[in-house]
Amino acid sequence: MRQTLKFLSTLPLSRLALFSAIFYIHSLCAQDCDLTIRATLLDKETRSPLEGALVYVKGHNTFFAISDSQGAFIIDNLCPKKYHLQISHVGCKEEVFYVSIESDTGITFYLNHKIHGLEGFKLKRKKRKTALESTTLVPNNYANSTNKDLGKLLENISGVGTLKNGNTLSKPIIHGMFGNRLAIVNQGVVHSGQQWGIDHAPEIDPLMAGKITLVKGVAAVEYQSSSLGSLVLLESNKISDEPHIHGEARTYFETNGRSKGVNMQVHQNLKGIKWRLMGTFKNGGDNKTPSYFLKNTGHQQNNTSFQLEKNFGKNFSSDLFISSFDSKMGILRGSHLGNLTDLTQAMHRDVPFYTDSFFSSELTAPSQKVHHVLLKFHSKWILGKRLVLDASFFRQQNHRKEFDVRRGGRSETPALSLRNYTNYWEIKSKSIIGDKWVFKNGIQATEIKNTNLPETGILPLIPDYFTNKFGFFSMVQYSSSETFVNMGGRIDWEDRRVASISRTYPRKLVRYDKEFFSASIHGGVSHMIQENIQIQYNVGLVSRNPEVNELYSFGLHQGVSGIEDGNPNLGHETSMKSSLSLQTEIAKKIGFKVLVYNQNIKNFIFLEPENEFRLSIRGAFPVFKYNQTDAHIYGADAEMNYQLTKSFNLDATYSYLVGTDQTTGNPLIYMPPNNLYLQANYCINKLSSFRNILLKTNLRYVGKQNRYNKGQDFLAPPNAYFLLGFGANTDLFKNNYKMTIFLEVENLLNTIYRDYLNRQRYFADGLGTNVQFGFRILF
Amino acid sequence: MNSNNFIKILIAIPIIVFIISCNDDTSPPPPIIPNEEELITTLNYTLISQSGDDTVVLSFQDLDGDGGNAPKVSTGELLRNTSYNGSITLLNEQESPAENITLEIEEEALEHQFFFSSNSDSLSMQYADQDSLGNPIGLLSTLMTKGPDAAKINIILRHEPDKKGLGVSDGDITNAGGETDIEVSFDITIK
Repeated sequence: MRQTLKFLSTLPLSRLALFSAIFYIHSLCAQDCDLTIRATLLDKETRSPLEGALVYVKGHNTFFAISDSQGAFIIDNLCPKKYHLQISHVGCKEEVFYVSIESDTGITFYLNHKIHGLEGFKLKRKKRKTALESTTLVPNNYANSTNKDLGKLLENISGVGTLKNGNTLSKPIIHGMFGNRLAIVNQGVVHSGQQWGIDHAPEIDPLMAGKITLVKGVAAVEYQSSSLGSLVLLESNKISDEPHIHGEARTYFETNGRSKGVNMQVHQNLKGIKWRLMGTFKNGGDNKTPSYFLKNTGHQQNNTSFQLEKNFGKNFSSDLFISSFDSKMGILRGSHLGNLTDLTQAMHRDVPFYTDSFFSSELTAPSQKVHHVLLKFHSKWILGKRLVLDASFFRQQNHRKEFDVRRGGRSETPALSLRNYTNYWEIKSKSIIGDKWVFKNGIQATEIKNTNLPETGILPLIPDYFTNKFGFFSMVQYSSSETFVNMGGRIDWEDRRVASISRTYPRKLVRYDKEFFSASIHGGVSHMIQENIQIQYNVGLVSRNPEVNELYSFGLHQGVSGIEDGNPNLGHETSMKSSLSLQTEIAKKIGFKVLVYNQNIKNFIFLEPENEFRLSIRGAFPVFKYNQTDAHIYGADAEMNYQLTKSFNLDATYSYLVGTDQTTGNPLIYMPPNNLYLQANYCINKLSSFRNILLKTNLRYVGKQNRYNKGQDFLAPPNAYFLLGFGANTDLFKNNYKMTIFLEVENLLNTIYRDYLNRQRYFADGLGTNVQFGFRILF
Repeated sequence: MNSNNFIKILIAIPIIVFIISCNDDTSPPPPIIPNEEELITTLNYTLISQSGDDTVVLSFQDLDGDGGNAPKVSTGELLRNTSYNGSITLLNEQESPAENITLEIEEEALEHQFFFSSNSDSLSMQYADQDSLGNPIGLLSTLMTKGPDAAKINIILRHEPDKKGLGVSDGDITNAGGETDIEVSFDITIK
C-alpha cells in the first residue's frame, strides 16, 4: 500500500483529484453472488488509461471502485443480473453503462475526456485534434450551474466578458465582439431573434445543451452567421443506450433575489427509440446591492425541451429536438426614463428613484417577455466508410415583447412587440480521403420573417423585413500526429426586403430592397513542437452585412433616451483577425496557455453621437447615427493552472484588450476592461460518508476602463473592483442515486461596486452578497 | 414499410418543407400603421387675465411625434403686473377629430403633475387644482407677472412622480422623479 501511494505521487497530479487505487467493496450478497467484473477504463479519443475514476454500482449499498493507474478496476461479489455502472472522472462527462453479468466478465469502458471543468480542477488541457482555438464546458455535469445563464457560465473563461442590463439580461462578449458580431449556434443553427439590442439576452437555456464550446479563433465558415470571428456552440449530447428511465433533478436557492429553481431531465432507450425530456423552472424577486433593493429586478423562466433519436439500420439515423424558452424579466424601475433630463437626474442619484426598503417579487413594467421555440429535424446517412451526409431542417420562432411604464393603463400593452420566424435548411457532406484528409462541404439556406405587431400603439424602432439567404461552404482538414491544419471558405448571397413606416406625418409606407454578396475565408494550423508544447495559429477574413437595425432603425430608443437614426447607405464590414496561442506544461505541475490576437475591421459600424439635439414634446433628445469607421482591436488572454500538491491547485485567467477607432484615434466604447480571475481549489477525497469534497475560493479583479475619452458615454467608466467568492460541493452516494450538494457565496465581503459592462451601472450599484445552495440527484 | 422507403420519406420531409416555404411571398406585406393613441402632439397653455381683457395661447405642436420634423412652438406677449388663470390642454392631433388627452391626465391625476418654471423673476406660477389626495396637478394654474422682461416659461409633465417628495407639492421638481412625458419651453415677453 505504501508503495502504491508513493507511486501515485509521481503521477500527473491533476489526475489525482480522486486519488487512490483502493477500491471499496462491501459484501452484502448471498453465496451465489460471487461474480467479478475486471474492467479497464480508457479515454475514448486517446485510448490512454483513465486513473482515479469513481465507479459506482447502482442498486447496491456502497458498491464502489476507483480505477488505478492502468485504468483498471475490479468489482466482485456481484450477482448474476443486470447492473448500472456509473463512472465519473474529473474532466469527463459522467456516464452510466448498463451491463449484464452472467459470469466473471472483463470489459473495457470508454469515457469522453475532453472537458474543461467548471468547478476548479481544470485538467491540464488535452492536446487538441483540431486547429481551432476552443474551450468546452459541460454545465449539465455540475450541480451549481442551474442558476446560471449563458453569459454567466462563460464569464470565467479568459477573453470573455458579459454585457448586462441588470442581473437578468446578459450576453457574452468575446474579444470585444457581441450581438450582431458574435454568433451563438444552438443545436446546429445560428440563434435567431433580436440579437441587435444591447439589452436583448440570447433566449437559450444552457442546461438544454449537453456541452458549450467557445471558439475564439475564426470558425464561422461552417455557419451561416454574421460572426466576425468567435462562436459559442451549444450542442446536446447523444442519449445513452440505457433501457430504463433514468435522469437527474437539481434545485437551487439564492439569498439575493430569493431566487429558486428546479431542473429535471429524464431519458430512456425505449426499444431503439431514444428520448429525453427536460424542464427548467426558475423565478426570483428583487435583487439587492450591498445597501438597497433594486426594485422590479425579478425574473421568471420556464423552459422545456424534448429530444428523440432513432437509428434506422446501421447507416441511417434521425433525430428531433424541440425546445421552448419562456421568460419574463424585470428592468430596474429607477432606470426607466422619459428624456435626457431624467437620465441626467437618475444618473446622479446615490440611490435610484422608486427604491423600496423591503423585498418584493412583484414584476411590473418596465419588463421584457420573450418566448423562443426551436425545432430541429436532422438525419445522418453514412455511405460507406468514407462519406457521411447530413441533412437538417430548423425552425425558430421568437416573440419579444417589451413593456414600458405608460399612461392610461397601457403598461400592460407592449411598447415593442416583434415576431421573428426563421427557417433554415442545410445539407452537409463529410468525406474522408486517405487517413489524413477530411473534406466538408455544405449548402445552406435561411429564411427570416421579422414583423412588428401593431398592438403597441407606438411606431416601431426597426421595420418589418423578410430575408432570404443562400450559402455554400467548403473546408479541408489535414491531421497527422503532430500537425493539424484547417482551411475553408464560404460565400453567401442575401436578399432583404424591408417595409418601414415613415417618420414624417402623414405616415407612409417606405420600401427598401437590398441584395448582398459576402465571402469569408479562414485557415488554422496547430503544431506540437514537443511532447508538451503546442502552438496554434488562426487567421480569417470575414465580411458581415449591415443588419436591419443599423440600416433602418429610426426613432426614440427608450432604453438609452436617444434618437437612433439608421443609415441606409452602410456597406458591409470586413474583418481580418489572427490569433496565435502557445500551450505548455512545466514539470507536470504548471499548465500554461497564452493567446494573442489582432483584429482589423474595415468599415466597422457603430452608433455615433451627433452634435445635435432633436426637439420633441417630451423634450430634447440626443441624436445617434449609425456610421462606419476602421477599427482595430488587439489583446491577449492567459490561463494558468498550478498543481501545488495532489489535493491543492490554483487557477488563474487574465484578459487584456485594446480597441481603437482608427479614424479618430478614440477608444472604442463597451470594450471589456482588463480583468483577472484567481481560484484556489482544495480537494478531499472522502470524509465520513461524503465523497469528492471540493472547497474553493476565488477572487475577481476588474480594472477600470481607462481607455475612454470624456464625452464618449453618459458617465465615465466606474472604478476598478475586487470581488471575493467561496464555494464548496460534495457527493453523497445512496442506494439508487448519487447526490451532489453545493454552496456558493458571491461577493462575500458585500463590496459596493459598479461594472462598466452593465448598463444598470448608470443608475445603481452591483449586487451584494449572494449565497447560493442546492443539490443535484442522479437516478 | 421497409426501412429504405422510410429513409426516403425522412429525406423528403425537409425538401418538401423547403419548397412549400419558397412559394411564399418574398416581400413583407405593408405594415399596419399603429394607432399611436398614447401620443401627445400638442400642448396648449391658455392664459386668460383675471380681468378677462387679455387672452394668450402658448402652443407646442409636434405632429409627427418623436424625431422626424421639428415642432412648431408659438411665442406670446403678456401684460405686466397682471394675474392670469392658466389652463393646459393636451391633444393628439394625429387622430381626427383630435383626441383630448387632458381627460386621461385628469383620470390619472394621482400619477401626474405639471411643473412650471421660468428664468425670470418677473413671472411666478401657482397651482390652482388638486388631486383626490390634495396634491397639485397643474392642469389649472395661476400666473402672475411683474415688470417688463423677456422670459422663458418651462412646463414639464411628470408621470408617476413622488408627490410626497420634499418640495414637490410646492412645484419643486428636484425630488419628484418619475418619467418626463412632456418638456416644453415658450419664449414670452412681458410688456
